[in-house]
Amino acid sequence: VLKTFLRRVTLTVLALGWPSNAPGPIHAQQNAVDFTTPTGQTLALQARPVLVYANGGAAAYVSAAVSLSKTQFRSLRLSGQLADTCQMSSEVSEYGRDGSAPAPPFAWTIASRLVSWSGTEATLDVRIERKDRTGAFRASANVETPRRLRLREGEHRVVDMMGVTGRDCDAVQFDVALLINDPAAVRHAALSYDIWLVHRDADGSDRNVRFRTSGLSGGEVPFAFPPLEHRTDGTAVRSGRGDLHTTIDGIIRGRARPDGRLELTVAASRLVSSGPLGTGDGGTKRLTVADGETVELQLPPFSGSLPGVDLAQFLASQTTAVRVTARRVR
Amino acid sequence: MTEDSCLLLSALIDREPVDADRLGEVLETPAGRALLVDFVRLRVLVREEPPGAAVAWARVRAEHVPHRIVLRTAAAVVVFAVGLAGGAWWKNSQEAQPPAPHRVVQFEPGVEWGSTPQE
Repeated sequence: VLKTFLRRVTLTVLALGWPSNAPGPIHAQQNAVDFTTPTGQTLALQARPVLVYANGGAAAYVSAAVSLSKTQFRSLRLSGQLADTCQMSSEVSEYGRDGSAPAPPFAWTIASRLVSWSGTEATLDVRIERKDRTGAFRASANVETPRRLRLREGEHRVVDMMGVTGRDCDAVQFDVALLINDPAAVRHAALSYDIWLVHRDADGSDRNVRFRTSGLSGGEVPFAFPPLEHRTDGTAVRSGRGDLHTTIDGIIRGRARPDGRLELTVAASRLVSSGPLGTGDGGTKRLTVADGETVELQLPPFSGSLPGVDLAQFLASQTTAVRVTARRVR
Repeated sequence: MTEDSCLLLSALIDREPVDADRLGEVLETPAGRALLVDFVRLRVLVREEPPGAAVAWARVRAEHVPHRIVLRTAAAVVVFAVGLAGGAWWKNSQEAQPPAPHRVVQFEPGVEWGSTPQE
């Protein structure tokens, strides 16, 4: 127990300022203005170390985030001391913004400034600095430290990685992610989704399948439909013994806005399979809709191919769409 | 007078088997004897009621109800049932159909859609 205790890694989060346009000495920046989207959201950069174990597992025990500004760099320091093992029982504390905390044996400092926000994607200038006086790590050549990042919400990007010497884990990754903080009025909203697969076969027959689900505002919610089945000549099969299976599924993310409208991001994918072989396509659409508005998202004609199956002919006369009605329920 | 005593005497009047010793004990009490007499009187009254009286009363009531009222009531019940079934069918058929879209959009090929899912 004592050994385990002594092997704890203590990570310390320091939210510090950084002078504009430069990596360099850390100074407090009290006057930076948070970036706010037209719909009242603020953006933040989350950073976390991820331990990668020899058995392929990975774990992140601590993370910290700093609000993004367009006018100034903001920085975040995660520091700690890695002992003999990668078992982590982390303590997180904030030392303040004056940079006066004693230099830790090991620390990542990441400074970032928002360059632009497209509504779905943030472009960031980043400066990453790693200091290691422990000798426990070796730099990895697999990850190149970026200077400009493009991030979408929920997407984690590894920005640094180090091999670990003489420990139970193989490496420590340092990754960052974009967080979107909603205004208080909609922060705890929940949405319901009425999602229909609307499919018309070559013979003019319709197959409509419904999927109802719900989720928190800003959260990703998966949806899926049972496969559409056909023979290789394109004839629809409803008995479950088709040669070709077309599976439509995806992820929907809705976000309530203070003005009552909803922002939807619909990611759909289509997989056509014949036995063990399959080919697919997919995409993402972003929409702003009224509460309760029904939107049909039509999938483009399928252009993939499968050995021995003329998919172009098979799918030429079919139309497939996903029809979504989103409502705020809380 | 206990409930057991009442049940015992009631069973006796209904010609069901009873515990003779217990019956003796009950009949030794004045209350038990009085209750037995009451049961006998009640049985006599029931037997004196003309058989078929209830049936005759029902027939009289039926003769006073016009046939058209009966038919109208039956028709109303049928209409209500058909309406109910139709409503259920309509609701089910509506749920089997997707709502009409207010707006139709496409995933733009090459920009929002590709052979490798676009993000």
